[in-house]
Amino acid sequence: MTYLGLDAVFVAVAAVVVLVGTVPRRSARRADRTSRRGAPARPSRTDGRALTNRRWWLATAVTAAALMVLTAVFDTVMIRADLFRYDTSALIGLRIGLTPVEDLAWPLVAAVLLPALWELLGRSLRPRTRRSAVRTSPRAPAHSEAPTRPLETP
Amino acid sequence: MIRGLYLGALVVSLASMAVMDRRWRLFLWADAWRGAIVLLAGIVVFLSWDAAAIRLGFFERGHGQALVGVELAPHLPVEELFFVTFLGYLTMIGHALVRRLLDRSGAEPEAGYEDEHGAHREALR
Repeated sequence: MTYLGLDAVFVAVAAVVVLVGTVPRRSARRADRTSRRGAPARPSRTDGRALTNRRWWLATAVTAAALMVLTAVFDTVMIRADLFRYDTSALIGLRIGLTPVEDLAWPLVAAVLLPALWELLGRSLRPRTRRSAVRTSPRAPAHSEAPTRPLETP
Repeated sequence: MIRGLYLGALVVSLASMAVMDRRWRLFLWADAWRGAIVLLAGIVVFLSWDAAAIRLGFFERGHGQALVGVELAPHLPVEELFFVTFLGYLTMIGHALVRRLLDRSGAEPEAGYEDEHGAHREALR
C-alpha cells in the first residue's frame, strides 16, 4: 500500500458519513410534519436535509480550500524544520512546495467529515428538545421556524 | 530554532481559536457536548491515520530542534496530539465562520437549512 492508498481509506470513511447524513430520517420527517402547526412551510434542520443543502456544501468547499492552502504552506515550513519525514518510496512524488500532495487529503477529510458529524449529532442528540429549549434558554440556538425574536424587538 | 517552538505555536493557536470560539459562540461555546464529541472523533480519526502511516512506514519522526523530543509512541511526537486537535478545531471554527458569513450575505436561509447560530448572529456585526 502507498500513502495515497491509505488516504483513500480515510476519504472513503468521510464519504460514507456524508452519505449517511444525506438520508432523511423517518422519525425526523414525522416530527417535522407534526411540528409545523402555524409555521410557514419551511423544513427544520431535523428533517435530515442539512447535508444536501447547497450552502452547507459551499461552506465545506470554502473551508476545505482554505485548509488545503494552509496545509501546503505550513507543511512546507514544518518539513523544512524537520518535524517529520516521509518514506519517499511510498509517495507518488508530486509536491506543492515541499508538501506531498497526499497530505492534502487530511484537510479534505477534516473539512468534510467533522462538519458532517456536527450536523448528524445535531439531529440525533436532541431531535425533540430543541423547540422547548428555544423558549426557555436565550443561549440556545434559535430555530428559523420559531417566530420568537425577543432580542430584536424588546 | 527554539526547542518546543512547534508545541508552543500549536498551544497559542489553540488558545486563540478558543478566544474566537467564545467570543462568537462558534463551536464548543455553541454546543459543548456536540463540539466535544466532534473534536474527539477528529482526534481519533487523525491519530489512527498517523498510526497507520507510521506502521506502514510512510511517516517517521524528524529531528528538528523545534520538537520537545517526547514521543507518545515510536515516531509519534507529543506534538502530533496537539496538531490533530488543532486541525479539527480549526476546521470547525472555519466552517462555522464561513457559514455565518454566507448566512449574512444571503437574504433568506434556503429551504432545508436552519441557521443554528441565528440567536448569536448579531455578535459578528
